[in-house]
Amino acid sequence: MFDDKAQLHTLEGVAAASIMLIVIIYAIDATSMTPLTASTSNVHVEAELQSMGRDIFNILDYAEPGYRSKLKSDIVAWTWNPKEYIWSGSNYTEKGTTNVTGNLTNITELFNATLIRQGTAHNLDFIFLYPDPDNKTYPVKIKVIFNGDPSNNAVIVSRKIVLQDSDNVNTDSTIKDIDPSSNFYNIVDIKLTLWRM
Amino acid sequence: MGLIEDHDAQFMLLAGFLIGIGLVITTVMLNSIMFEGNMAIESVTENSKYDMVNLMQITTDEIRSAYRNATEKGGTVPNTTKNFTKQVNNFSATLPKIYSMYGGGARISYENWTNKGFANFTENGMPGGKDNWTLVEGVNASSVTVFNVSINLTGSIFKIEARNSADSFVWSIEFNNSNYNVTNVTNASNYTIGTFISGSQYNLTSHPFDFNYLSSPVSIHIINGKNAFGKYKIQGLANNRNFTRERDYVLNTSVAISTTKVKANISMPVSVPW
Repeated sequence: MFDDKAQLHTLEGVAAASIMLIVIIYAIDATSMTPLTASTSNVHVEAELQSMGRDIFNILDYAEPGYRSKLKSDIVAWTWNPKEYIWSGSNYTEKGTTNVTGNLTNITELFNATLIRQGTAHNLDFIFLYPDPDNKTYPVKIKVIFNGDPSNNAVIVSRKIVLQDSDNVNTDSTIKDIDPSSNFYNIVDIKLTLWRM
Repeated sequence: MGLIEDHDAQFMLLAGFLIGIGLVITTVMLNSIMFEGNMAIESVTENSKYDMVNLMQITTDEIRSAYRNATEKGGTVPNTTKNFTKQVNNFSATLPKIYSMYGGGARISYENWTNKGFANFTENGMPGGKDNWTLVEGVNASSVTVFNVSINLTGSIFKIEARNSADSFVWSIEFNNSNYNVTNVTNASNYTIGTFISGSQYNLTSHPFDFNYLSSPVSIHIINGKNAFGKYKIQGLANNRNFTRERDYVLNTSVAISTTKVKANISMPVSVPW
């Protein structure tokens, strides 16, 4: 039996479903396009943050032959206080106190001049290898500057530097010499996470 | 009079409507596919290129540091290369642990200077490198405490010259297979010819070379760098900052990096000690 009405109703159902689907997709896309949304529409925001992070590391890690970069100087002098640094509005201070950060002066100075002024939220982590009692090494991550959990459009920029015995790393540093048999000391990965508030 | 039921017309209208919706959906999908398909791999959040450069940099730093540490106290080539190899091997073994944090891998391979000739006097130290180049600019000649060169000639003439801030020639030493000639235009009578001995070290701050009697500042240039190989070291003040330029060897090194999106193997010459 050939029933035109049934076919029409089916087709109308398909058309109605398609319209509803398009409306839903359009509504979701339209309402979720905020600066914090991870989507192809804010790729340029992420690219911009990434460029800025790379520029910051390029500036900090530049050194002429025979000189030590500002980044390396900070890492060599760094001692870990088990409290993270946070931006208090005027300084980087230890979390829960008013103690201003006493080291990482080059890093915090540049962050203050760039990230803080532009209102870019940022976290800074150090990753390095730590020796266990069996003389094996494993990577550890320490939160150095923590300004909260990043949004889903955050970008990560990292820079690795190599430390030598001859760099005279601070004796109180958490970064230990993982190879006492040679001049090689440790590798530190400085990880900067950036996102828009 | 009742409505005329024309099912064919309704079918045509609905079919046209559905085709229209289909076209919209297809266009949107194509747009997304083209956008994603044309995204350059390094353009957004992929850090591979940046990581490669960083890996090349830390490898260069480590090899130079290991060379300086191994050779600064002197010693035989087997002993110094043994210390060098030990340090770079330890660095190489550690590297993958740091990269594994990101789900990637890194590896380096390198050579030491056993049975290896000194670097060419080209800009990058390789035989095919730039022939005429500037070693350092803005040098306060009187502050230069070390300016040593050891030269082996492979061509007819090799020359080191100094130019003043107006880029005018003020001093040079020219080596050929039998002689060296020192010319100082600020003192026309100061023109010296001596016997060139291949492989010997010349201290250019000493008499009769007298480099550090020049008026400052000067830039130092290498001319016909392909015609010679050997070592150089110069230390002093340039633009009121201490500087060191020194090269003994160029060690062939390669770094390999692998991430989820990119695998790359890069060869690079590393000039040591700086």
